[in-house]
Amino acid sequence: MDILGMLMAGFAVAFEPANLAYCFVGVFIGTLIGVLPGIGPVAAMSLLMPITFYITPEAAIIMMAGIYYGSMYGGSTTAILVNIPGEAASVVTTLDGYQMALQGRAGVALGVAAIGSFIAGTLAIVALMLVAPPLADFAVRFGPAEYFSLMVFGLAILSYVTHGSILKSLMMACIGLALGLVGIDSITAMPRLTFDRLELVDGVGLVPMIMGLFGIAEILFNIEGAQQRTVVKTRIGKLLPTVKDWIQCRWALLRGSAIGFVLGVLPGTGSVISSFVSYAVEKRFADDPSRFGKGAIEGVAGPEAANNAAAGGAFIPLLTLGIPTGVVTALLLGAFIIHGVEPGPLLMVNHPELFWGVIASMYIGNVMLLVLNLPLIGLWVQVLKVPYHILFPMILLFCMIGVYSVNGSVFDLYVMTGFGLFGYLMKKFGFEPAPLVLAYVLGPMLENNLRKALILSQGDLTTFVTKPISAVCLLLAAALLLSAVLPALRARREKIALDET
Amino acid sequence: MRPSDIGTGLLGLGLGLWLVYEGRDMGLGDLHEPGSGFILFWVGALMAALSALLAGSAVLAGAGGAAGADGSPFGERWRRVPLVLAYLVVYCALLEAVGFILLTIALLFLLFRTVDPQSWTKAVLYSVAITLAVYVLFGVGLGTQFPAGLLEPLLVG
Repeated sequence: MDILGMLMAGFAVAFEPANLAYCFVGVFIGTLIGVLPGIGPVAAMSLLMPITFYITPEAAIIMMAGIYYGSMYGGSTTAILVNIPGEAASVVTTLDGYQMALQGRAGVALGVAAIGSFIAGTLAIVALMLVAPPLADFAVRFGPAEYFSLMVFGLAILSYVTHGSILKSLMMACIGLALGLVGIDSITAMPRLTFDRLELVDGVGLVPMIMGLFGIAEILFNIEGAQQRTVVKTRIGKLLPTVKDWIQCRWALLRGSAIGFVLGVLPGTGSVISSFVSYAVEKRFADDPSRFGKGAIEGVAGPEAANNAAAGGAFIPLLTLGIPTGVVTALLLGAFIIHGVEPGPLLMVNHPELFWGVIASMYIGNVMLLVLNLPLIGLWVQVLKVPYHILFPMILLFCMIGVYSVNGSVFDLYVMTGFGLFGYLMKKFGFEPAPLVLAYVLGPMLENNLRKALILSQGDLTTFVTKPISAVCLLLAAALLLSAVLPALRARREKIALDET
Repeated sequence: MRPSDIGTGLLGLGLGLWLVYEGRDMGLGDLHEPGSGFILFWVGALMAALSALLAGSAVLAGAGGAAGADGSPFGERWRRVPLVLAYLVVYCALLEAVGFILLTIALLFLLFRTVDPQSWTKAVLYSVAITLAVYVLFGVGLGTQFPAGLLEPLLVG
């Protein structure tokens, strides 16, 4: 069957009433948590992960994916109306979006963000649909050595782009790898780092760990400071941009989509970096760069397109190689594994209904988001007015229920609380949790592939450098890590470094 | 580099060395057939090396006068953090004995009174309303099994 035929079959899956409902729930919750500062897509996806145990894999992935790209839409609303990014990828939107709101053009800013996001999201899905099948064919050639090196490369990129010291990022990756190894060794059946606790035989739970690191830690961080939010007082005005506005931002939208998609595919870069790069590119291309920061519409259109396209691009390594490129895709990988589905080159062959169903649902989800973001803008403004001191006990409670409902285990609640404290302290001392989570998810796969590669090569370490794909990945990883310690490049890295979470 | 990096570096060094010890203890195997502790050993060694480097750099930066450049990393209202954590630990410890409904009302009440304190009436009202709504949504609607605790005769019959 050709791609179009597959896509039609995917639409048949996505249009099933249950899948349609979960897609709506996903994008609605995604928009909601995108609007609310202090809770990001990772926490929301962790919170809803237990619910996915009871539904089909298609519905689960459709909903989780919807939360992810939905949060990219929602984040812009807060950035434009409150001057606080709803999630990290909307930081740049605050620069010109809030200025437009102050000038009485909040509606146009929200409109261009929503429609621009829709255009970019759709373009990214088309690109994903075209790029994923040939890439999956190529990935079939990957053996254990190639997979091991690719994972090392992924961890190196994430450590490189994560905010702050690369030493600290690598330390976090080491802790994540060690945490990923807790439990029974799949080859020798020996328990590792379990401290004779039965609860640890299956390893440290992904949900309590993520909820602690991202949910509880974020709450602890927020309650320590005063939360001031002032929704812009001016009228929102009409939402549809004028023809002049469209002409002004048309190239920004296209460039943002392309930049976002390409950077989204690369491990570790994702939505945050792509929105910054897009902003920088638009400023460089502008006839009058001094308009930027004072309400330039391209400063909203480009980054908003980029962060949505990046969300689409991030699915490529996950669906074709089975490798997550960040925390969000690591969570999606967790959802695949929970349902006994192995993402990777064979996903399209073994589970075509899942692969194409998810892609088709993203088209539908983008349309739903457009409908949610434009007519319901008044509702999101009301949500923004809920004070944080009312909101945070509820978020805390949802975290606890989310964790408890997975296994009905009080031990998991202790694990979550422990990781909450750990995440809070990490943040205070300049350590970022993203490399830890990615290494935790990759840890068991990395170990298995390393051991398999060594067994297959009869203990020959050169197997990692004699295979071309593996050698290129290791070379790139080494170059990246070495470049981070060179003074000139280090300064540049610190300028662009941002944590996706 | 921050002055606190000396402490975190030393902690990391300790953790790394412990992983090295555990890895060796589990068996390294050889390159033909790596054992259970093989990767743990090398991860621990890498962790120890990175941590030593972090602590060492911080010491050197301190010798150059950079130490103390940043103040306490904790905000003015930091006392709320251990308080909320203590609530959570007590909640975990008592959940099965006291039960979800009663304990959640108590937890929410304390949270509403601790951070940007609400009046007693509002705190009680919010706590009861949220707990009951959440119980109906998750417990009744989605079938989550919450511990009944003291309310067992009432809820289980």
